[in-house]
Amino acid sequence: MTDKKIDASNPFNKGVTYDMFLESLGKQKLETFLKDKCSDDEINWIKKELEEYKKNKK
Amino acid sequence: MAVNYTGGTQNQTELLETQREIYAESFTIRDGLVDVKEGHKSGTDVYESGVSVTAGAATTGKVTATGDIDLNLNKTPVSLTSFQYEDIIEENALKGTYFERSMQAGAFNIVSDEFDQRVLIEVAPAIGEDVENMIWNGATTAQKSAIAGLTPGASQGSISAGAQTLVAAMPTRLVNSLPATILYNNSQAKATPGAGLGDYIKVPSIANITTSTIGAEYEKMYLISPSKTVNHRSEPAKIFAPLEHRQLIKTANNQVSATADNKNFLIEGSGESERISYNGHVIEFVPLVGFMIFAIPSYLKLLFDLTSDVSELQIGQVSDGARQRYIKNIQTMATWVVGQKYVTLYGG
Repeated sequence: MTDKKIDASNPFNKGVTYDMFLESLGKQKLETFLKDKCSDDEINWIKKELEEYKKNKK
Repeated sequence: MAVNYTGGTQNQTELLETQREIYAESFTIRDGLVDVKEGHKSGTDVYESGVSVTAGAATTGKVTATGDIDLNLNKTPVSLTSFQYEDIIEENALKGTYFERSMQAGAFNIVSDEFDQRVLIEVAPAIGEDVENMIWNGATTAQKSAIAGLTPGASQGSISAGAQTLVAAMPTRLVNSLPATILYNNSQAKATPGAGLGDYIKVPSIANITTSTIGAEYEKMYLISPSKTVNHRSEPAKIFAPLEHRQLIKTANNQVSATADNKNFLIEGSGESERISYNGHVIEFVPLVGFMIFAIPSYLKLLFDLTSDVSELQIGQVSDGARQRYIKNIQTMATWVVGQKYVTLYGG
């Protein structure tokens, strides 16, 4: 049995943490990276979530 | 004829009523907004059961062990916490004030009945308000740390970073509020039993709640909630929302414009009998901060030793000749949640 790799390019995929998603995002622009995967509402929320995440991590 | 008077003037009357502070009553306990259970001292065991069945092809032979009927029973121990409000009343400060008139003769007597009736009477409602706040907003130091330690993510089964921010900003209390318990608990009935993230349903893609967005935000919560919760007709699910939503809802409902005249909320009655609902689900306004809960009310538990402890005040003379009185209230409480997979936590 092999472990199925989690696709971390979409933060809404089950099991994807913000750390994993940020690694997948790299230096790309969030809006462009998620453009075809998420709705505008979802992108706006993820943007806010990542801001909170970085603030909480400090 | 000139009148000569020296020695200063004084007011000859006073308003009979003392304007009191407004205290939000503890509606949660008084009206039983959630499942309020008493008779528990230091801890109690909470049981949850569930049965899953699978239909098989009919046979004519004797019954065999198929594993088609799976009976589950889980026990979770829940600890209650005792907390108190106590102080010494220094009534000597009332000498030389209006209240001196109601003190009995004798240097020992500095208790003013009028002070008791006008001011001391506010202690019980103030405690009631504090307990109400404790039920809906706040977490222990340990709970805050446990929630901060969870790994955040966007998908179901992970806490949002926004929720972690809200919990960090909660007042540190001796008892966990319901949102704090929903987020992190040690229930044995969860998909992964034991200490960790709750099994609640989270509402993704949420936005700031304003007059213009409140309808859309309630819709997000409603649509993502399990259909079993929405269809639970024997005990309809309720929405528990922050107090300020009452204003936002009414303002949103009263908007008149070419585009925004759709009334998303039903408002019936006024004053004490006012009832506001969304898609048939009654909204209870409680001191939540940032979170909303959509749940079958009895799935949210408040465990008490005795609910009347909230308003029970002991007042007495301090011993050994002290010209002081003591005042004390003591209570025992815990919050708990069952059927977590049917509980939606907006902001969670």
